[in-house]
Amino acid sequence: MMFNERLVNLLPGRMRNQVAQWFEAAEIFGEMRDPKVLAAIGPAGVRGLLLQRGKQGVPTQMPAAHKAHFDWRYPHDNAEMASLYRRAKEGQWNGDSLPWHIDVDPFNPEVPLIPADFIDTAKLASFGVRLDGREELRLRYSLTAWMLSQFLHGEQGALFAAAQVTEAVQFFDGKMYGSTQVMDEGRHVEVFHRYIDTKLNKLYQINDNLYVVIDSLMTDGRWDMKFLGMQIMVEGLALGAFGVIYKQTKEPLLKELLRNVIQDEARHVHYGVVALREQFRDHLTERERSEREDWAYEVALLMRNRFMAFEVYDEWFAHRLTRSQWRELVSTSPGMMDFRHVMFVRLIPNLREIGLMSPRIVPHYERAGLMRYYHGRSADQLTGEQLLTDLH
Amino acid sequence: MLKRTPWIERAKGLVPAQWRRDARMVLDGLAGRPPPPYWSTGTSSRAEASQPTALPGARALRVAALTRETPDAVSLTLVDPRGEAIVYRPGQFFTLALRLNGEVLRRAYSASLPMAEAMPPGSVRVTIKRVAGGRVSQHLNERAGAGDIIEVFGPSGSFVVEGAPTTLVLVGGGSGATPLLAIAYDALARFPDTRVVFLVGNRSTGDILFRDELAALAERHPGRFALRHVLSVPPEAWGGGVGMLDAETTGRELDGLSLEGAAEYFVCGPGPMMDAVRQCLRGRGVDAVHIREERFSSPVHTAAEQPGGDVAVTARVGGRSYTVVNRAHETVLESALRQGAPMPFSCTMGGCGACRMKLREGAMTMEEPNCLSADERSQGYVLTCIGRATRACVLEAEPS
Repeated sequence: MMFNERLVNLLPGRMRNQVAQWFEAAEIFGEMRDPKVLAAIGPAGVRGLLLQRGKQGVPTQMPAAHKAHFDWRYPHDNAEMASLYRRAKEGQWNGDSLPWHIDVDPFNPEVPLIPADFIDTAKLASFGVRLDGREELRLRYSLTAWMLSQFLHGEQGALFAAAQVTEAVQFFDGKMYGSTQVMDEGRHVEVFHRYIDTKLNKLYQINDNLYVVIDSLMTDGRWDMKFLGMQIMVEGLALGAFGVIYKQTKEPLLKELLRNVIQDEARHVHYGVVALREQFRDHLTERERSEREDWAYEVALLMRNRFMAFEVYDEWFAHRLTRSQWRELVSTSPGMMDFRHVMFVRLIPNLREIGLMSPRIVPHYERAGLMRYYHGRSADQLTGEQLLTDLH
Repeated sequence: MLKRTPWIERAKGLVPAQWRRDARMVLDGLAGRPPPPYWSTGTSSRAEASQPTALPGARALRVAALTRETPDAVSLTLVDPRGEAIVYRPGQFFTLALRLNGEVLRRAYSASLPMAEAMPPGSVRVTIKRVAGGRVSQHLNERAGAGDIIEVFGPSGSFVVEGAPTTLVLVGGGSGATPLLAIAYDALARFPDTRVVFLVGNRSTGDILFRDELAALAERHPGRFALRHVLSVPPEAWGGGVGMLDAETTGRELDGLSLEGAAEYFVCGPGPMMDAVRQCLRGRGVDAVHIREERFSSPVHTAAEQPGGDVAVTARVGGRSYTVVNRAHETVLESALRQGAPMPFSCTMGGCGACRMKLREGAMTMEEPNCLSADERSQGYVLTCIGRATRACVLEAEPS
């Protein structure tokens, strides 16, 4: 790292940020221990981090190579999924019914989108960047728009992944349930887009690391990898992020929007746990299982270490801070720490429940400081209401 | 250089567009031209298309059926698409808000049936008579169709019968018969000892609203329901009253109806007619407390936007204070509702007084005419639904 930074500093100024970005990417892949995991994420990594396919300003084409699994006998093959399907039908809501008439003023300090201490301005000042009150409000507005934009991009990924998984899964009850999740994700795209479009008027480009996760899931032909990635990892990340904003925002429309979305997400993660528990326990070789275990670990780290709002950095501080200063700022700011905490509170117990926390991987999680979340409740033991109460 | 260009162009043609974009991305990055971090967005057509209730506080009702009452009047049966019953009292009115040529126009229309008679149950029937030059009444008479969604406020108004009067005299002119019909149905059904007198004036037979329904009511309640039509241009061999409902004709007609004992009078119709009826009743010794009137005020005129732009308004409602910004293009009520303050309101067009608040500080202009009495004005009351703050205001709601 030190060596990289010194090397980067020798470059002409305008190249510096770009090359630093590539070194960071190379570092992520250099640290991957399992060559199969590297092979699974690598190509998506090149497309996302080096070529920035998500930011080229044109629609992105991603080839998909999974098998659509038909069953002409329509078996009732999974009672828990059938019950989720029933609950999902009853839990449908209309995005139009949210209180859209509420006028959102992102710069009203009385009704903050996120709290004042979300980002550590004292630390920012110690790097030599002082913001006045108005600029602080604008920065928090940018961060909120960035987070909601990433939620929206994640929901677009979730929409297509849910459709793919519905095709590929072998449980018929799972397909029926999956159809409701497709609708749920469509509605989430609707409400997040509407909020960004009509209330914040600012849509950030997709974060490169989020792009990598989505790309690698969409193009992976194995249904259980799509499941693991979307239902457990991305939805887990989403639950963490939604939960933090839900808890902290004072803006009533956003709060109501998230309250509805969180209840849907709780079902989605529950489905992931039910579907994968059996698959990983009974239908995979140990080699295949441990590959998924490693993959989940790498993605968890990717999400913890790299989801750093660099798009906001590019907009605000590209010429005032180095990338590593920004990373330090974001990773030590109260709001982002809270975000990571809630994310892993949800994620680690789910990984345990589906059998991806074997003694082999535990020391790695221990080193990453994540084992303290091990004994929490997994998604199949939690309702949407409990999730919301936990956040208060 | 000139020779090499075609080669480059040809080579470019062989490379897929995606690869060229990829290469440009890398080169731009090295040249210090990163992709834009965000896009500015505006209101997209998708979001706009899914905004059935953009007016704060309105509910979107669906036209379930249309009935042509006369060549110039139509009844709309409105239902709540969510299946909720529309609750109101006979004599009350609803404000229908229509967007015509980008402008929101609000008009009050009374329910012409009581809840018990509404079909389907839970719906409300409002009747709209075409007014010469009236944009909303023209539109509803000519263009409304089943399935239309209309933004509706209310019910509003206190033109309702309290208790069971011995005699109920309903005097209506033209479309003024609308709330009176609902009151008549209700009183005949609920108060078995009340006698109902229905005196209604129109120009000609073709203008009479609810002629068949009124006749059916008279048939169903012989002895309890006296119906009298008065026409200013009667046909030949007309058995009813003749003339305009002025003081003289009204007096003559009331004489002929042999009213006994104390009566409650409900009057609704055009302004001059109502003034004449009031004068006639007062002349006959009827105490003002026994005369109830429903005035269809002429449509409010939208006041010009206030020059200053956004003004801060503090509203004290239900023991809490809400500070909102009254935007230049909005009424105080609209701004406050949009910003989440639980303001009292009903008709949203200055006709019912539900949004009345006391102006403690600041200044506000109001559209005219409105239902505030001179007394209320002198006590500092304002109507937020037609008010625009010109200076920072502090408003206080009455305890509910």
